[in-house]
Amino acid sequence: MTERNIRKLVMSALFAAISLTLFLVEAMIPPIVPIPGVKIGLAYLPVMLVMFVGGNWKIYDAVLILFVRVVLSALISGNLVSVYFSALGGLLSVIVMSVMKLTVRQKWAVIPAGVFSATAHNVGQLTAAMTVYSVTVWAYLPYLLISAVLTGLFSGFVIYQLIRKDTKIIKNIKNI
Amino acid sequence: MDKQKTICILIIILIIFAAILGLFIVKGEKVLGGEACIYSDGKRIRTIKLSPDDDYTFEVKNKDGKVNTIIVKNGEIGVLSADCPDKICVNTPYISDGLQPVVCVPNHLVIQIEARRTQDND
Repeated sequence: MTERNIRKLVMSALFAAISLTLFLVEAMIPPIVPIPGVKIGLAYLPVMLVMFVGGNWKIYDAVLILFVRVVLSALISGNLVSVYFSALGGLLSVIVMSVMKLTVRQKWAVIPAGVFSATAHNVGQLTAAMTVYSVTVWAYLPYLLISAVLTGLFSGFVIYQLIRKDTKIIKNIKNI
Repeated sequence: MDKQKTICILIIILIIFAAILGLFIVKGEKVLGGEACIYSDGKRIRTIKLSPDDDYTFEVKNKDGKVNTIIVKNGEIGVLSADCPDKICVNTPYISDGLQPVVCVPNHLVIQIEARRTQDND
């Protein structure tokens, strides 16, 4: 391993840890609306940052960070069913995110990507929930879609503000 | 404003539109013809087909002799009265879909609407 590889590995581990921490912080926030599955999606922020920051970071790295986060959150929360949900949701949303990154090669792509990936996450979640519970879980979809648009815009804007200007920190992350 | 931006905004508007449309469908349509399963002491004791012109009540006794009076009306099912101490089951709104069951913990009673899919597996 070259020094650069090690630096990137450490940085990836850090991003996964940040994602996991945000996931746990989010779990502590009491639910705002009484609909299961409505979340701000803070844990996606590091994944989106890695996906869209560019430089030496490829789609592959974002997928890996998401995967590590899902597995570790399973071990910490001890809830295997929720992992099944978030794994399917995460898979779909990361696919949508990479399609956005590859088709729209500009920085603003992160905002619509946030909305689309949040939507994809909810669809994946409901597909998983359908196999565990019953088909009636799709009745939640309209509520989840509205929350997905709002939270997706929020996280999209957050990441856009981060990567919009090439500040020193962003440059360092890019050229790791 | 370039083409890609317009397409993205259009898709977002489409998602919002689909959500609003879905809200109306979910609100307007009661899942009729569902089957309510009544569990007492963990065993299924009765299955009831719900249809909009039902209007009747009946009693369910568990093995300790506790009684819940169950009402079936307008395609919905709920507990009319019970001799349990907390009356949570009576205060639960009548249900017509499988999203939430009616539960009476002191009397070991659960009423749940089950989708047809699970019935095939029985």
